[in-house]
Amino acid sequence: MNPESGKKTPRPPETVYLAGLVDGQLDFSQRNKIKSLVEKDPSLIDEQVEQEKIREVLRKNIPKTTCPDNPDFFWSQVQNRLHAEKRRTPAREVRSHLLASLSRLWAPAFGAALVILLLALGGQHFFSGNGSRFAEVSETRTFQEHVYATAFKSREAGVTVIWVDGFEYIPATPGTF
Amino acid sequence: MKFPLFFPALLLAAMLMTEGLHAQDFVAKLVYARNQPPQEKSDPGLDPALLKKIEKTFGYKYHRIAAQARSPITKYTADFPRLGQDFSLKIEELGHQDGKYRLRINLFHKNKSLLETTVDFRKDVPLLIRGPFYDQGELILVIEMTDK
Repeated sequence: MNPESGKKTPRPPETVYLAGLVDGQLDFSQRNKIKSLVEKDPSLIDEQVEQEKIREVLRKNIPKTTCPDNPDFFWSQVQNRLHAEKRRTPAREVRSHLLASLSRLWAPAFGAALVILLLALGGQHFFSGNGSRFAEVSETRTFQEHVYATAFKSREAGVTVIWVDGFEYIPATPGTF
Repeated sequence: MKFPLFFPALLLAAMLMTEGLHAQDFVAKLVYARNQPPQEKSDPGLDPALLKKIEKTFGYKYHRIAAQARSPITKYTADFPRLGQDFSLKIEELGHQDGKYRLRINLFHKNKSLLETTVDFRKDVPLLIRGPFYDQGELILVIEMTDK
């Protein structure tokens, strides 16, 4: 700025190129050109060093800026809600996906439960029916003299027998059977 | 909601089916076995597998059911099924576990006790008791438990 006229003093093109050089904005030919100028003019070297110092200071002290809220409060709230909805949507999707998976598992779960039930009942039926081939006699008593009872398992016939000796002969009389 | 209803229903069905398996009848058959052929050919009225067991054990050729009785098994309650005019039984269930029934059985002839025995029965597993000689052969008591 010129203090006498109050008008902006135009920057010399070398200074503009120098700024471009410091910022790394120049192409190959421009860079060679400004370098040759700097070599010829020692004041430009000082200018270059000065500009590099300024950029270094600026780089180290970048102010922390935050984006200001939307000036329209209502719309900013709407925007916030929309963002919140967007964040919640994946959780809902996961939940619905889980429910869909569970509903797909319904038929196999039913089948498995049925198979387990049938196996359990079949096992019980097996052990209660054909599991043991013999009735187990734990005690036998007779109440007449000379009558004796012996219990045994006939492996050949596959049956338990109580063999009683000494019963009195019963003659056939009409109407007995 | 289907899930909360399904498992109680399944449990109920299992209980009913298991109860059905537990419901057993006591069946007693007094078989008249002999070697002389009967005057009229008749069906012995016995299950072929059971008949084979009787034949193998006692060695008679001809068999017929002279009398039979069926009664439900009721825990700690005695039953007195009759077998013809002169024979009868007293049956008591002493308990049951895992399809095994413990029964006390008394055989009577004209109200006189001949035999008392305690036996663990399973379904369709018979017990044979050699009874007295009768007429031209022998009486054999067949006891088993079957589904109702």
